[in-house]
Amino acid sequence: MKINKNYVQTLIFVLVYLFAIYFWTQPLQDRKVPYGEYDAMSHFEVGDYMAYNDKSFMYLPPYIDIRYGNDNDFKPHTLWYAPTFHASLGLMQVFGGQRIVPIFLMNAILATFVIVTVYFVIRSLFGFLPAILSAILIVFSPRDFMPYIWGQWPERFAYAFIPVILYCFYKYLINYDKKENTPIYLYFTALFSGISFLIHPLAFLHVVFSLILFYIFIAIKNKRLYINANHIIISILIFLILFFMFPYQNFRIFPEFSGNKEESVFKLSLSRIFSWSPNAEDFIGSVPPSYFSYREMHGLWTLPFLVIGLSVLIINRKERDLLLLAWLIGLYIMLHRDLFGKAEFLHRSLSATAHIFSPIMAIGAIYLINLVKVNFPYKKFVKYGIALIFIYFALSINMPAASKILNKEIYNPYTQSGFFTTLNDAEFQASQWILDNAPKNVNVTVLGIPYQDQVLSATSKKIRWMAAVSQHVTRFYYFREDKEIILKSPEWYIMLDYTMIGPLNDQETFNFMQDFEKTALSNHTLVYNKDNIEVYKFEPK
Amino acid sequence: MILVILIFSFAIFGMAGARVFIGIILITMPFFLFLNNFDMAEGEKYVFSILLGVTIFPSLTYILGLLMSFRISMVITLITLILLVFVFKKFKIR
Repeated sequence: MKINKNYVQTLIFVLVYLFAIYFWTQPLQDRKVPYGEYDAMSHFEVGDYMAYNDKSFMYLPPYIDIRYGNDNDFKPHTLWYAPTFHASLGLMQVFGGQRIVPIFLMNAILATFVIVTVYFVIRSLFGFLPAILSAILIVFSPRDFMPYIWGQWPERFAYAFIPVILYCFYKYLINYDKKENTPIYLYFTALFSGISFLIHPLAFLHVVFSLILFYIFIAIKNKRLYINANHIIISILIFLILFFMFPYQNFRIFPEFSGNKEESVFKLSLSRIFSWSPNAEDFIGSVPPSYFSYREMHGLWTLPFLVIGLSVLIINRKERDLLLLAWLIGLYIMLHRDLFGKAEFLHRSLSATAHIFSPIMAIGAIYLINLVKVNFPYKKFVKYGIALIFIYFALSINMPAASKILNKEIYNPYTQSGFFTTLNDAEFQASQWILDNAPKNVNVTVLGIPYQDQVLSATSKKIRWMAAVSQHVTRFYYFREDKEIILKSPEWYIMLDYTMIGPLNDQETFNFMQDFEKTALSNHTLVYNKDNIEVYKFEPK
Repeated sequence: MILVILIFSFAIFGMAGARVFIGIILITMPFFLFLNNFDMAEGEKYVFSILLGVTIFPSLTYILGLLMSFRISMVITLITLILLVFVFKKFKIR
């Protein structure tokens, strides 16, 4: 029986990709509760609202508006991103028939889709081995899964478009003079550029530089220009149609990028030109220093392959090599835009590094043997041998390092990792009860979740997740200045959460809450009482 | 291949996982049928149609969902896109 080589290669890739999905969804697998940082909550909230309430929305519901109402400078109180990404999460909640797993699974699929697009493009241009090696490296790329965990969901997916946009433009240019020339690839370039803009404008800006550079490289190489007015006009129209699908969100980019919010924070110096990463010290408190370290993000063992791969591209300078160089230089420019006074989201651009570094490393490994100009019969086997060594290093160095950051225990509400940040089962069920039973105009205020300075940044996330799950404005009781009004208002439910007090052995808060129930809530009715969480509503007897 | 992914989705994420996978196939299908009309490599058709399916389909559903139920707008979007593909195919043959 003859085995179809393409089929086997695709099967191998599918297995690698399924492993990526398994690896990236570990925090979800044992506990079906939502997790992540602030941004994750917002993206969950938007997709979840559409599906759960069975309607799209123009203006933000109160529990989202309270935090994101002014994020859209162009049209306040509306979505701050085009709804494309969030609607896809909402669709999957409907298809999946559950609230949490479908959204988090779909997000993982979209966040890891860059593995598919990098594999597809590198396989089309350089063959299976460099493609599969690139894919394996990206599976374990912390600069990819860390922002995914933090909640920069749309941005992760938007980066998946960059290889495809570049590939389409490549196909258009290299076939420009051929009989089979078809403008469809330029139209796809415009289409995918427009979609990437809808998902996250940053990815679009990334690809613009690379497209311009690739055009210049090809024009210089072939000593000619490629201009077809009809093709260009149709492509611009395609882009504009997509742009005007969601004008409130897309016009937001202009006030956003004309601002000078962060420039003064960065100390500009010429040494920046010679460093790939921004200075870790400029991001203390928001991004861990390891995020800026080559050793910790890629592993030092990849550096020789990166150098060899880069040398191969520069020496060969075929169209496909120039494409990767344009991609790399485009990213370099985006990463150094602080030199031009635009420092916003600089660390986020860094998260696109592995998508181009990995293919170059893989090309370095596979083409290493080609640098030896002597022909010998076992050259092909040596190539496979180097590929196996490459995989061995990826699995023995990168995978364990990745597992330390991304594993089943992160955001576990029953361990130290997620105790203060993630909803435990009781809190999730109470929040779900509020969603199902409290009128829309009701807000919730919570006692029992620690609010002291040393834990507040963590427990604020728990409060926000409660709001996300309950779809009601949810606030700490302790910080309210209108406590008296709240206690006499039918529009405020009081939640007493005893679930954290036991593990913390916090007798003082327990006594306070018991006393609070007896005195302050004497005119309230207990409407929910399960697993150490009580909810009261104002109902004078 | 589809069976492998379906089994994986069900094994790790239960019925919700399997249904999400089927959902992705459904929203991707109209675009795959559309791209099938062009002389493109198989890989291109698959990757492009998934990218279009998980973006254009939800965008259209969202817009329709401003006027009607989100679920109904999903169904209308799916039917409309499939009809458009057949109209395009007929138009192309002529």
